[in-house]
Amino acid sequence: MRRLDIVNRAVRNLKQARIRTILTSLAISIGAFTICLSFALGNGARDYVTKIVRERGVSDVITVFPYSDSYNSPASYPPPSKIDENGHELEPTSTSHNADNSSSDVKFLTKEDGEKLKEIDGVENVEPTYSLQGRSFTGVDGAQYATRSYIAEDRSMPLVYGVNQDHVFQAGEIAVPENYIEPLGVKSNEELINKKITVTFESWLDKSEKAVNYSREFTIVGVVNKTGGWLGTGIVIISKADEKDICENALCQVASYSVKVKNGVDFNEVKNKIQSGNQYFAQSMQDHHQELFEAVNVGETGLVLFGLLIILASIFGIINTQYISVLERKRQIGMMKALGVRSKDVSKLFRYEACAIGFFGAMFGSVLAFILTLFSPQISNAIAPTRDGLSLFVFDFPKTLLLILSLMVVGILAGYFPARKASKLNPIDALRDI
Amino acid sequence: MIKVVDIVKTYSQKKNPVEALKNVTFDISTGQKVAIVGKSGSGKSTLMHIMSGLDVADSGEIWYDDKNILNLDKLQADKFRSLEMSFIFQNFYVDDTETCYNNVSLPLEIIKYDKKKQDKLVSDALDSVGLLGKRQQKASELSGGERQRLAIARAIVRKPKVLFADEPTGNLDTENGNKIITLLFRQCEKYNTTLIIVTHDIELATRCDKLIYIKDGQVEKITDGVNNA
Ligand SMILES: Nc1ncnc2c1ncn2[C@@H]1O[C@H](COP(=O)(O)OP(=O)(O)OP(=O)(O)O)[C@@H](O)[C@H]1O
Ligand SMILES: [Mg+2]
Repeated sequence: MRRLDIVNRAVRNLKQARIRTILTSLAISIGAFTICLSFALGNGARDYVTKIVRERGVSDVITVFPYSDSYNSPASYPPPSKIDENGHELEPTSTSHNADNSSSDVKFLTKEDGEKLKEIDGVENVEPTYSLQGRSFTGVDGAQYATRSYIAEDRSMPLVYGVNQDHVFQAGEIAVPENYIEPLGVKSNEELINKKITVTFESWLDKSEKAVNYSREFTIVGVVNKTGGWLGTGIVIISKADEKDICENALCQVASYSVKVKNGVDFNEVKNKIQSGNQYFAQSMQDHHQELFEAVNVGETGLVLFGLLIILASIFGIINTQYISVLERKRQIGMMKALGVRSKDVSKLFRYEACAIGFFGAMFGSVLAFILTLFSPQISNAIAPTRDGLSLFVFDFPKTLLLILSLMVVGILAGYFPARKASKLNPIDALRDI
Repeated sequence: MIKVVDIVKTYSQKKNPVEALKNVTFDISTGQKVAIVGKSGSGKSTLMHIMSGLDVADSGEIWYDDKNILNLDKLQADKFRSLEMSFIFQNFYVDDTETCYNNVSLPLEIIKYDKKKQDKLVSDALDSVGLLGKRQQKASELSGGERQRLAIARAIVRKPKVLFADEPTGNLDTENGNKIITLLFRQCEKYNTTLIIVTHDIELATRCDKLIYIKDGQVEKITDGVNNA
């Protein structure tokens, strides 16, 4: 018989036993639905991770920090310190902190480190990142006033007086918050302009003997809205040139270097070179990306395995259904064989039926999953209303196609034994049974 | 020309072997209508199964012209059967799950008959039994008589050389039985098909050209039917 004729007969047989076919494929479709949805969920999660990584930073850049043991060994924290009834510490934390020296042993990167990194094979360029921390400024009365947040040139800062937001700060220029008026002994924003101010910066570890203080005089060119700072204390703006000079030359502390890798050079190789010698700790967005992807993959695989378990159970459903079908259709099989249908073709008939059951189940499950993914925006919105544009499910067409094909194969395999039984039926017995 | 020579068939049961056929020998000429008659358990069905290549004999020969089908392997026997033979099963069995058309097209599908010509052959066969109007109807929706005619259409659609029928009129009343047998005879005559009917209905048997009486697995006697008398 022609394959097409056998397929047609198989499909017609299934149609005839409609309820049984639907029930058997329903079991498979639940598995297919689970697997499809896992794929969609995995895709959605991976897209989401990629999006976040893109938002947060450049992915082809290695960020280099100074090497520290604390990256490899768990950080040791000081024990809680005692306090008196007023809430003051009886023994300052710093004492106990210093007793355990390892965790305070933070090194800085310097200009020289930048030069060294630039020498490494495969490095295209090296960009320093600074983190400047103010300590105080000198008031009109000679006293020191606390100050914290310093940034270099930021267009987003609300300048309320003096230079406008497009101003490019030159070396020696500074913009200070409105609330500096009083300490500096003036009466208005207008009077702040062109006034000199002496600012003291400090390196990060003010409690360590390595801490360095450095003072410099600036000329005020602008006034910043006093609430325009992270902690409401006001932000101070200086030029990029001053930031670089102070960090590199005076304080000798570069927070990190962003190393850009040459095109076509193996990213990880460069990363390993940087880390060899335990001088630097290198990290890239790709690492985070990879880690998050792995987490997503583990979750996805778990769900897929669950789906496979359902399918495994449904296989027995197919086998059972087909066995009963063979017994019910003894006459049909006997008649066909008597008319000259070869055993091979009888076996094919039953395997195709099982295959079609697998196909229907897979189709039904994936179509259902697809329909659900159409509501992905609504579902995502209900679960995470703040994450705009997050899509919980992204339907995976290639994988679903593969799933459908695999389930057809699974159907054929499940149909193997019933098909063999059918093909081995003796037409004489089948005809006598009538 | 069909020659049955010295057929022996023993069913080897554990303790007592049953000698179903013992040295059965006879000839049938092409286009003849032959009835195999005998009591229940005499070996009629066994003989028919061996003659059609569905079963094998312990010894003996079955010649179709110059071909001994007992020398064929299973595949060759299947092929020979699908090309040259046809069957009407007990109680005119048809596949209830299929339409009239698909019941009749099965023998053509088996021999991979040209699809374009298949349609015409099926329609002709259905037409000759008066079922052309019901070609797309499910066999399960047919009346008893229509099902019998459908079975005949399926049996003659590819114009077989030999047509076997095992107890076709099993539980038909005489009047309907006669009608359907007349139709069957007419179709066989049309294509010069040799018809071999197994029956214990003597009235039906006497309408054939030749009666082969089987008793305890042996040919008891061979007589001519009323037509040849
Ligand atoms: N598969 C088998 N195994 C053992 N014995 C069998 C088998 N098939 C048939 N027989 C025996 O062979 C003998 C002939 O059987 P057969 O079916 O040919 O009889 P029959 O003439 O067709 O009878 P009926 O008119 O009842 O159909 C019987 O005695 C039967 O019991
Ligand atoms: Mg019988």
